Amino acid sequence: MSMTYDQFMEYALDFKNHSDSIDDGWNIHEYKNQMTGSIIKYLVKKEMQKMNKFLANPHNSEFHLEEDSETIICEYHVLYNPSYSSPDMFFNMWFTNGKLLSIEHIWSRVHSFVKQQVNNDKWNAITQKEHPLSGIPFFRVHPCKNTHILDNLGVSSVKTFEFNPLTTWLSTISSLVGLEMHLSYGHKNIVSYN
Amino acid sequence: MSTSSETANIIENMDNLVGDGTLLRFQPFSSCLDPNFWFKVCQLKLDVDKLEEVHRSLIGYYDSKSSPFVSLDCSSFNQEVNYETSSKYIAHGHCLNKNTIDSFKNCDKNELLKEFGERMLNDFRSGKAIEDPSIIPVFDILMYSDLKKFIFYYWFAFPSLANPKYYLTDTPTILKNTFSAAQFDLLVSGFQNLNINQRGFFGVVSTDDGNLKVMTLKQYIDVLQNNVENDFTNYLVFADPSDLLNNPGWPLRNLLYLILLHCPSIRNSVLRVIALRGSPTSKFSTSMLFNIKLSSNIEMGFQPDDIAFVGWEKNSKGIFCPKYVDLSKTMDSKKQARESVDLNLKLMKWRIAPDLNLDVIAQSKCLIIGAGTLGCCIARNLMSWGVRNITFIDSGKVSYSNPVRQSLYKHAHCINANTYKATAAAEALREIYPEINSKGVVMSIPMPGHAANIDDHENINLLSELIENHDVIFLVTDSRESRWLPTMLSTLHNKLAITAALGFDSYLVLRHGVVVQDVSTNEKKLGCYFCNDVTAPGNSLVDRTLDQQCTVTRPGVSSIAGALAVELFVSCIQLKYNAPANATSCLGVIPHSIRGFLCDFQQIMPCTPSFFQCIACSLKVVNDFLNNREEFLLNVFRNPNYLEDLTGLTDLKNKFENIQILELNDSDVEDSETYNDQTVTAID
Repeated sequence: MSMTYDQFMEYALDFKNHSDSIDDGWNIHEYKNQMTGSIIKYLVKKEMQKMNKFLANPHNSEFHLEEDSETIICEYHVLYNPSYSSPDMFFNMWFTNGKLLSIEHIWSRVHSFVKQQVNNDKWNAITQKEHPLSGIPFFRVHPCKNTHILDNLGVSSVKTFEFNPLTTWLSTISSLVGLEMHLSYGHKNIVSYN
Repeated sequence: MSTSSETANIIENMDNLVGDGTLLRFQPFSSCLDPNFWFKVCQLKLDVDKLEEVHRSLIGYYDSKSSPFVSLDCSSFNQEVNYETSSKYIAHGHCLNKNTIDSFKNCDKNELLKEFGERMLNDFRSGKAIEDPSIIPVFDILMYSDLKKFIFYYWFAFPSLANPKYYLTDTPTILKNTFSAAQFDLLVSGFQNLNINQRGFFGVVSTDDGNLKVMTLKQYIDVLQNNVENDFTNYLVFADPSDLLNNPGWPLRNLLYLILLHCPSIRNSVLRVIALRGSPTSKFSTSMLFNIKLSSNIEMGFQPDDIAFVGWEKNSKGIFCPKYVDLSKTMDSKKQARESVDLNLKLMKWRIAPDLNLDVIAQSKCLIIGAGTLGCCIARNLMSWGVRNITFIDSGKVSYSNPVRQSLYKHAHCINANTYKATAAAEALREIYPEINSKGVVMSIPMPGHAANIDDHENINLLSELIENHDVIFLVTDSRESRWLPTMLSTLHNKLAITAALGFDSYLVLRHGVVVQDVSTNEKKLGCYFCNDVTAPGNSLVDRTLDQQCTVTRPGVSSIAGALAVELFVSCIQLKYNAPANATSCLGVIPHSIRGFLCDFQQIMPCTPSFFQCIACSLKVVNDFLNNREEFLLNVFRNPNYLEDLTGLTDLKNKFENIQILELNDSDVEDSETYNDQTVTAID
């Protein structure tokens, strides 16, 4: 299933409204194209996460969980990708000194449930890419399978569905990027989309 | 410093009981920087501050959701508050960017902290901080940025007063025990009506009948100062970043000082302090209530002599010491380009050709002889493959007809005819990709049959040396004879050479030079450009008309041939430099030569063995060069036919002629014997 930008924004606003009601921290940011003056909107969430220190060193083969944990800042951007006609997940993680986590760190943070698949096919899952709007290096969940995911979840553009496809998609990939999604996104007041 | 370390060690001595009650310890702030903060630091230092050590004012943000951090990003340098972050609280600060690492290290940190603290105290004394409570939590950054290496040294201070000491009269309680749900609602709506500058610090009064009123800090202080007996209870409220249950966050420390400074009359009373925790949406449900009083020596801390400051941030190891961050990976554009280029190539390896050896390509030293249409095209394709070392040899200058076909040149290169191709091409490569190691050698290739120049001998030595020091030689000059010496030298040094040559609508790409061991065919060498072309190179430029002086080809031919030359090289070194003809590497077959024709868009891959009498790569020629170098070269340059004589080609040609005569005389059986005798004589 592919979606238009207007549909994407509709889903995004609905998503954001629910986030506001549970204080989940999602905001809508605007980017103004200096050449055309057009405005692009996207969802942004910035949060702090505690990371156990042993993960900070992927080369350390000894596994010992330390009490001590390190704070990292995670920023998630859900953009609309016109080429794939689908949502596109960009994210970044950095330490409190402003240093970005390396891609090895990012892989090590992937939820254990999907870790094996990601390790086998690292570059199809998460790659590093310049942010399309700011040009700063960001990590990205490769969007080529997004429409496929949505199709597999039974979301089709012709069918009327009773949930927000953006929420569905985001909850599918959230384990890849260490994003916690509150369960209430799933059973909030049912809204119907056409 | 010792005072602040005591204070910061909040967890360990929480139960530290003194006569007055439990000593109140505050959770210090930590700094949290966004990567784009550093981008802004660089930009300001380079474009605005330059060599001045400027005190810049900054805005930081913190929140009341259990994270004791002051966060800064690129917007921190704006003097206007970013209202998008309305769920956050403001802290004001300054940044001092030192010019050298020495002035960063050597400046007196105690003096500096005192300076920071005095600035804050002035705002407290003047009452400015009461009008605008967002200047109560302050921070200062001492910084040194190495903008060449993108390394930053920085040290945050969150200045506060070392004295007085505060005590808790009882165990802190959850605010829910005191306030009703209705009062919480009133608190939230009152909070939301406050200006963003007032939200971090304010006051509430509550009456016994459950009413509650939010007031600004100034109004609250007025209430305290008037000290009238009322039937309501007043509370001091602050947004609490602390994530520790029984310890308030750092902003309270400054707030208490400010209050007690302006309200000396209450220094004996107990202050009810609400630590606002959570968010308006969650109705600050985790807020705490602290009952705080001063130590018995109530004047301590307010006398000028007692004033001492604390607040330097500890580093990640818990030591009072500057932090350090190396951001070259993110900020150095050259490193970024390098990583992106490598990543693109690695994707090829990871996704399609797992056996692809990218290192051997990257490390190859490539010599391109002739920086024309083919040379430019080859250089660009080599760069695409991640090759890091490219050297050009060319003696010409960029002319007006060049830039449209030769992809490394621009019109500006042609003006006044003063740019050499070799240097311009090497420079262009660096402009495209700064990490490349490119060189341009302006040198003409000595050619057989051309009147020898004075510096020819020198050039031969230089060329020989260059070929010896490179791994692969791309032979892409525009005349046949200029290929002779490099072909011979490549054979001599046993280097892989790739020759590309163009016709109007045809092209030839072939590899030669190295000794090839092919057991099946007993082939030792693959044929060079001259092996299949049995005349010695003469001066082909002499008889050329004007339109022949430059290469007359369909423009696409050079792009095809240049690209094929590079792909042939890449395929070949996947195996080894001396892969036999039509061997197979991880990228497929490695032909000996590729010939293509644009008239019918056909391509063939013939394999031609080397010719033992070749005028460029035969043993005889190479040995003669090695053994009688001076004499050999003199002969080659002076006499166009010398090479043919040396290799026996002259004989061969004569033999051919004789065979023809023989055929003519074939019918005449009687004369045949006589004729044979004559031929033998002629050969001698």
